[in-house]
Amino acid sequence: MRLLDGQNVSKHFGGIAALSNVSFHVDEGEIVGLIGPNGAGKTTLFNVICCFYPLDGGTIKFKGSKITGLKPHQVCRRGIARTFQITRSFANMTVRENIMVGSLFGKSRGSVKIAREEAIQLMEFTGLTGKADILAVSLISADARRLELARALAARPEILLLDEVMAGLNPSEVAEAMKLIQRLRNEMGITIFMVEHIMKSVMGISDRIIVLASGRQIAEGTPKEVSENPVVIEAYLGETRET
Amino acid sequence: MQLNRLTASLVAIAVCLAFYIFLQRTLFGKAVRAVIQDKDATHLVGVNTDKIYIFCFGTAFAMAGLAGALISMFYTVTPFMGLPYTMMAFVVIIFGGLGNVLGSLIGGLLLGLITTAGVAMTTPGYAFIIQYLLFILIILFMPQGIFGRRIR
Amino acid sequence: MKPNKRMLTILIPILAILSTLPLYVSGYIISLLVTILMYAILAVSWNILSGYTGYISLGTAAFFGIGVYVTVMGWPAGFPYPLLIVLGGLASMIFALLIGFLCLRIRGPYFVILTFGLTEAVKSIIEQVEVKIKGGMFGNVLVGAPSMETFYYSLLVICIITVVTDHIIRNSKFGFGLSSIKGNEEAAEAMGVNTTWYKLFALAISALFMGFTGAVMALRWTFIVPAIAFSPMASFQTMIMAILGGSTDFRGPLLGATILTLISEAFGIRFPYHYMILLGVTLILIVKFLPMGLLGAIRGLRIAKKQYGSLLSP
Repeated sequence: MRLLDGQNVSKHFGGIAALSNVSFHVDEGEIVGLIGPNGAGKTTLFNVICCFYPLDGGTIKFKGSKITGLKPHQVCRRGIARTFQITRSFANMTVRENIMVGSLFGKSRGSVKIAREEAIQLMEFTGLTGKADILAVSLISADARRLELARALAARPEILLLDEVMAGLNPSEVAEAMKLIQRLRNEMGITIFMVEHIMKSVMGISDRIIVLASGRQIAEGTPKEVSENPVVIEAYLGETRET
Repeated sequence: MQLNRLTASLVAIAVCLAFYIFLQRTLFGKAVRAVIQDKDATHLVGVNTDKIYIFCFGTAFAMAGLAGALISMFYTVTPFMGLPYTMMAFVVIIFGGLGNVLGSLIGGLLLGLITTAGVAMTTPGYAFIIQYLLFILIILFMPQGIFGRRIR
Repeated sequence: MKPNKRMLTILIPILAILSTLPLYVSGYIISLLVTILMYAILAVSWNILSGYTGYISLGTAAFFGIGVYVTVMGWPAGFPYPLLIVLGGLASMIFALLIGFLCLRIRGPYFVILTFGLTEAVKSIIEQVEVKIKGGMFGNVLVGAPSMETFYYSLLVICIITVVTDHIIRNSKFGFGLSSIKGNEEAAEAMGVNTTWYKLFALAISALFMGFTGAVMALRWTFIVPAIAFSPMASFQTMIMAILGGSTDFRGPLLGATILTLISEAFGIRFPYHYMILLGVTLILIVKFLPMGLLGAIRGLRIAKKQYGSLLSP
């Protein structure tokens, strides 16, 4: 089933076209990577899917129905959850409470009691159990990312938008994160749409990769196809030269 | 034409222009403008941002005091006379765009005109309401002010 | 904070004492308690919006004043006292819902300025209306007001309702939603919190209780002009009381209200301006040294002792 379907999506800020006629899709059960040089519009695409900004052109459908024009909280309730590039935890709340918010207001919308139980499970899953009652603001970077992820999972999403979850992690942490993401798809059935700069990870676990550059989609295919695509190489490294 | 009010206006305009020139032409003024745009970056290039803040704070109070002294020439003086001017000050700042001195100057003139016109059409008691409505309208539809930079 | 046996053993005796006080305590203390209760209600309900979501409001006087004016209009017309209280609260709440749509779109310092201006604007409008109707500013005199004991019991009941409401909110899904708005409003939206509705609802509940209180106090003061009903001091005092005490739950505002009311009584009518100076200085000191309020500081010390006490002991 096609979960996310974007057709000719365009968004500009002032004179700058952050996204021009980008068409993309994510099918159920896939892990799709979204890569591209800086400023390509990757985070903008996520923001637009979650309806943080209104679209200037095109449509985005989730499970067949249009989601453009909804408010962000409605998008979350339909089953789309995301993490943020720069972690945005609820600084004034504990780790446990942060995750509970995801439970309470996401797709499942359970009671406070249920949210508490779910939070315990998710803290175990992401390895945060020891830090349950620490204020989110005092977490170290890697834990803050785990919290972002746990909170997004608490919302019981069908598709999870991960925005550079692995930035700043050391190689062993990256390997751990890769395994975790695969577990999310394999064990919990969550479709993953991820933005990443760490090529090894995104190439390693994605079924399919979409490449953006300067707001346009320049390539799409399996990791192998994309890594050999000259257009992609040029976008990242500049013009190839004959030596 | 009352000489008092004329003097007050001229002094006010002169001070605003002097401050504007200070901001544009002196090194310290440049530092102030830099802090407005990005405090951390300014700090990193070696500017003592604390000193800038203290200076701005002090100057702001000094100018308010000057304004009070000028106004005392033609309005009665009480310890609480500053309250109505608080709202006016906010409207002027938003009008002109935050950090934009010339914009504030023009904003002040515009505010005065609009208030006087509005009060002439209704009664003096409506002065505050007019200014407040203006404040709400600008905040909602033009938060960057008429001359300010775009706030996303 | 979950309701438990320990809390009940403290609360029930306190409530018993409070409800029988007028029988054995002087009239002066009752009237002092009336003032404390007034500020307590204002501070706790202020906290429901501003403490939990971080939208600092200086509009308390506007909502309070509307309650006052409902009584001003209704009492001479013969409306019964309890009805006036209910109407005062409802009028305030409706007003809050209407302007909330506008005001709550705006964040941070602009929101503070906006709410501050709101009080002044409402005051101006009512002043103009009064002048137009009566041809001048004569003030309103309310005759035949109920006894001080009546005020005491009314405010005690309202206070208990406010505190219970706050407690229910604090531990409910609603409370989590409000806290998340303070934590990071955009992330809250992304997590499914309908922030617009939540802020509006918190504002409305706040205004309801402030309106109740205003309706009662109008009869205590008996002489009302817009400057008294909509005095910005009410907004400032409420805010400072809540911040002084600490804004995590209702105990902070209650503590702050009690302390500051007692201090202001001590300064009395002889030194009102000294009191205002103290108020201003208190705000500056709290913001600089005790941003979490008195209760927050105590809690911080307790946590620090727990975490580091183990390091210090042999």
